[in-house]
Amino acid sequence: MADGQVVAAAAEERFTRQKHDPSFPRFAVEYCLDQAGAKACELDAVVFYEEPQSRFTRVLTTTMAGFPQSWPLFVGNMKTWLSRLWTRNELSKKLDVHPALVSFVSHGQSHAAQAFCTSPFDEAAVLIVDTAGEWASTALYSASRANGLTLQEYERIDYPHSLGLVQQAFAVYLGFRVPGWEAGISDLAAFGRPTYVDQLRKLISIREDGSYRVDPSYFRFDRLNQAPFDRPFTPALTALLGPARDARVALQFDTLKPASGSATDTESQRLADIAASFQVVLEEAVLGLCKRIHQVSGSSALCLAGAVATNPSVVGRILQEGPFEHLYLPPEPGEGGGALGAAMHVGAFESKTGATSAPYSPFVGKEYDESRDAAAIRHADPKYWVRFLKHGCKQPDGMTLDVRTHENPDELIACIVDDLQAGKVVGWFQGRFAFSPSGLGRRSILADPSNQAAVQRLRDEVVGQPAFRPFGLAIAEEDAAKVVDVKDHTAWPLRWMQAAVPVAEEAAGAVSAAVHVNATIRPLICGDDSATHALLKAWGARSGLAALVCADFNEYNYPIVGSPADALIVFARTEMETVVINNLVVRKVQP
Amino acid sequence: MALQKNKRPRGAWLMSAAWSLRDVMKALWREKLLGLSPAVLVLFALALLLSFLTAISPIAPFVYPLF
Repeated sequence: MADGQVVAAAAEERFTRQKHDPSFPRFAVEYCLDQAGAKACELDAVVFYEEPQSRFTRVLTTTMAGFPQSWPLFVGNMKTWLSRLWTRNELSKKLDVHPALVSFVSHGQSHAAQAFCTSPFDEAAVLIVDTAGEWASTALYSASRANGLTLQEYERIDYPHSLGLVQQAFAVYLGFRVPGWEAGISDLAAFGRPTYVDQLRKLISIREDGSYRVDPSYFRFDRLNQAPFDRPFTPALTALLGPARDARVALQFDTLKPASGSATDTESQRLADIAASFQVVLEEAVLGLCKRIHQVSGSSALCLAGAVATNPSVVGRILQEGPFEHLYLPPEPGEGGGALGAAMHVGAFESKTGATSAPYSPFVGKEYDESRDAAAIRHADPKYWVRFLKHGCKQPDGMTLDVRTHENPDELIACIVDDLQAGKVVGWFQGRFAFSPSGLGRRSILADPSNQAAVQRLRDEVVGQPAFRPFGLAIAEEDAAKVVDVKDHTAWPLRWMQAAVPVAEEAAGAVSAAVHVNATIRPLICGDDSATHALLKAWGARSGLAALVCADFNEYNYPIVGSPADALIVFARTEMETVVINNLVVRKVQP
Repeated sequence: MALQKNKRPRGAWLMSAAWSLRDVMKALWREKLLGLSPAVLVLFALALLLSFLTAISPIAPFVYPLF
């Protein structure tokens, strides 16, 4: 950050190609410093997004509370935490800066600062529903820009009462990896009926004042770091709900075949029913918190962040039934956003400069020049790619490449619209990547939403996504009201693919391949002057509706592509027919 | 000159260790858990001893299995 503006932000995984890379973010730091044209020693502050020493006190007390049974856990935790307490020294050493420049902002405040500072509001209620930072798992704040920036905490709920941790534990129970795949619960829930709600109310009790309590006898949150090898729940949970899912067994649901709304095997149906019941209880709990903060703050706007804010059904429910007129989620409401929030906290709140980063754009990732990759791809022969093909993908003998550079943007868009209309799957790579867990139309794979075969090919032969998970839908702002069945069709969570909302009945047929079995879509509404918006408008002029299926530009379980080379690798390994990298278009030409 | 001042000085690890210990004590005070400070000091001493032992190559192979 410089002068209250975000200059650059990126996740390390975009550079190292390791999903949720936990190592020191060497390449991301290098990029951010390059973008700012600064050296590390020119920085005014280096900020870490939690207070390791406070978190250490929580780990120490919670493990000591279970002594002597917790002895093995205590040894493991101390090994980890005695090195994490060394964070100041590690940052100072790796960046070659004075240790005094390194500071810490609490986890909750980091999230809250990001949620509010990137929002368009002058004052707002801020709700953080997270896993667990130092002690707090849920926190209610009020934030204002009126007299410099202020952030006031109203109430908080401490570990082990944590909706975020319960969500993660249920994700593991249902066979999803954590962190990162919790949204699978919401996708699976669409196939189920909430028949386990009474049992789940024993786990999460919602109080009249809007707060909640978690029964810790059902969970072992300390094992989440070792999941799925160690299960973060106790035998009491499996006694209550039945055995956990074996992640190797596929779930028998297909979002492209709505007739498969009920699974052919009872085990898949049982798991979907549990997911549906969990969603009901989770949404009730979050709505209770929303009502509470609305009551205490009296604000008409809410900024929401934390791990639970990555659940699209929860966000959709708040948008439709919440007490707030306006809802805002930062483009990266999860852990990654905490790092940006910590920088904002020091830059804006602590310095009291009143500077803010609004209006904030999430497109603060690295921009690449594709000219070298264009030169390389012109000399590539696809026959040498065969050995690197993704499992199950085929490449016909004699396939060649058509490589073109379009200097005229209208010409580029016209030829991509032709490809989409012909049922092709198109990789779309434009400009800087987003600081977000989604590609947001800058690193996306597009297909015609009325063409089930194209979307099935996108799912099975390109991304490799499980059949029960739907794709997002990019919509031009001009046509949003025709597709989305909510009051405010330009609400912020709809701009960044953060909410599951009902599809308008009259558009459901035209976008059928993006509609989930519960008649919801995950919209990405584009209203800026980007190439993606221009493409959507051109597609709308041709097809009658400016909406395209929009998947993240990656293979499942891999990070979203960062560089043109990463995009070309996905193009080469899969059955993607066309890739667009800025104004370079590469097509596979069948013999 | 100012930039030089921002660089990591020699012996910074000792400064960092002292600050980390201070931060932990402050956190224990804030959370009203100051009674745990002897346990924390013992853990710190143990960590220092183990890191010292792992730095001595003939002893290190016998120390690593403890982790």
